[in-house]
Amino acid sequence: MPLPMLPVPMRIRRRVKETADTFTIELEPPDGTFAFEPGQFNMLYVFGVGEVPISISGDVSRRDVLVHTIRDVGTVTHALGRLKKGDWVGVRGPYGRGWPMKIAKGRDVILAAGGIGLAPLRPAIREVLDNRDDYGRVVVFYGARTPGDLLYPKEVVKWRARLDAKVSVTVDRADRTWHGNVGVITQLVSAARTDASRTVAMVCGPEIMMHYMRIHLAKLGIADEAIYVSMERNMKCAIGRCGHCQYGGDFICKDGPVFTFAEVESRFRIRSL
Amino acid sequence: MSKSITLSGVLPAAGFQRLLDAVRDAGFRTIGPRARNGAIVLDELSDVAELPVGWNDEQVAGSYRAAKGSGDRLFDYVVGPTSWKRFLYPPRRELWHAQKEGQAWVPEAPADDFEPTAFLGVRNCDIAAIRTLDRVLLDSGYREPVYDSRRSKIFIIAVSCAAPVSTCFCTSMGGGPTPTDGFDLSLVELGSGNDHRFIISSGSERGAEIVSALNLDEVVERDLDAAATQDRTSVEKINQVPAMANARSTIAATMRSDHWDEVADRCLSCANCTLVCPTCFCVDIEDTTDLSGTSVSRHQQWDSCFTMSHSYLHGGSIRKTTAARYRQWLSHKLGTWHDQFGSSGCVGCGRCVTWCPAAIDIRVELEALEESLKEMTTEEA
Repeated sequence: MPLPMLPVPMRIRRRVKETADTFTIELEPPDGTFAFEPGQFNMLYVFGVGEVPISISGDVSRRDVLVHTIRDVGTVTHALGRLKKGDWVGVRGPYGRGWPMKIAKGRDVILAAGGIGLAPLRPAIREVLDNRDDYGRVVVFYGARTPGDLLYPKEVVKWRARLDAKVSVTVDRADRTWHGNVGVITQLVSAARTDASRTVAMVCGPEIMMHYMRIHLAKLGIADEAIYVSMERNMKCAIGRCGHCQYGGDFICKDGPVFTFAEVESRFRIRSL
Repeated sequence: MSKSITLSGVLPAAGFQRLLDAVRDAGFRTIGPRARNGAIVLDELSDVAELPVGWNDEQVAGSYRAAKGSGDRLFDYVVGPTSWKRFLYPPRRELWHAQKEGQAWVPEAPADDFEPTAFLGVRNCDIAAIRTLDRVLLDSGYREPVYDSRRSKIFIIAVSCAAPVSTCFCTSMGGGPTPTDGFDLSLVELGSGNDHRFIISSGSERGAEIVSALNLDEVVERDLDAAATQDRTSVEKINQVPAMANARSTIAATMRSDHWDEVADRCLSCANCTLVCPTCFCVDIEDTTDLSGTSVSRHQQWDSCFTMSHSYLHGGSIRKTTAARYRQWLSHKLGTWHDQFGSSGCVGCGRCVTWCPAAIDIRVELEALEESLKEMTTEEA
């Protein structure tokens, strides 16, 4: 009898502090292989504390390690933050419909992340940059609250150094060390210079950020059907039966978390849905 | 279960115990209606005397009264606060447990010890509810293992409704007082006193097998006429809710209506409606540890979209207001359920109406939404 609620314990082989409230753990899949698609997530379980949905942030080509970047925002994520190298985490997954990597092939791609939204988008960004020839123009927008809140700063610097992709970073509030853009992420959009008719946009951040990104992407002429957003709700099971992640007629865990904006447009701004 | 229904015969009420015994001899324990604390609930029974003989019930929005009358009929009441969901998808159950050894631990799932069980006195609305749960837990991408296993162990003995109450509206949800499929056996209770008898139909081979040993009397025209009259009388008593026909589109168009705030003024957000509902499937999951923190048990238990924690997302709840939570319940049950599972989530059993302490009636609220839609459309025009 298959038991979909049973987690697989995995050992933490590395832990990295990213920012004041965010950290990354690398887990060892027991049989050394864990396949996933960019945008998918796992349920991570801390012994005796509980389980939370966390997107997968690693490389799809690296199956020997499972990477999760986590922000400490509640009981379980706090407990995850206290775990050390060698500790065990229960894993169920991968779950959900991820980013449209197949559809994006051969097209211009805009990847836009706000805050922790970079964590679910990183596998997609890496996939695109690692297979650069498969895509047209590539644009990455990343916004964080302050320079200290930037995730994966070393990696972002490498992306920015590339001559075959436009990578723009902005912060809401700068400090004296900051030399880049200051302001909301949407102000970067007009410089995208992609061919709107053949652009796929993948957007991940707070709902309000995705709402305004869509307005600005629409101004460029990009259709709602080509704008992809990743939604978030409470989740307990990740297999469409606990009922918590319902978003109108969709279960975010299995029908999403990634949707086209066209799919969610009619309910996107309904309050408290 | 086969869809071919066979008219098996007539069992005099005096011989009802023989049916219970035959079911027991076939290896099933029986769960059926029992009068307890002034309500008809579902629990184990083995003797006909344990049934609510002569009991009747009155149900209106926000009120339930069941009492023993002077009659001798066995099923002259409708559904009480419990539904069969309690047995197929129990209120609380362990998913797995684990013991820490050093830092490592391995989860183990408990075996489910549910015995083969006959559900006695299943009403047509509750057959529809079980079918609705089947679509949620078996037919939408994966099979819920415990529900699946229990579902295969039940034997359904349905009964036609002869005494519908004001909260019944199955006929507006595609049902009716008389079960037409989805059972192993189905009973129509006729007459009383010396004339008290049951027409038994079988809906499966094992159902036919069980009744074959009962030496049933032949069904005669008088029985069929009486059954038809009883069914017609029941249908006439059951409330029609024309608004149900357009429920899905009405709700989709009124998600921003002020009416949700109006309901919220009356709704206590108590979750009664979701807990008596035979199709509500939301479950929460929680951990229990021992004092040393080395042993953990993980349970699932029924949850409700009326709790704040149901929509909790880091930092707070998405549905902070009662209006948002009531909207989630009603719009899911009558609207988005269609998107998810290809049918309404409501079977018209009326439990949510009866057991609402504020007497909120899902039918009346739907009609009010339909009105508010008309007003919105008029304003636009």
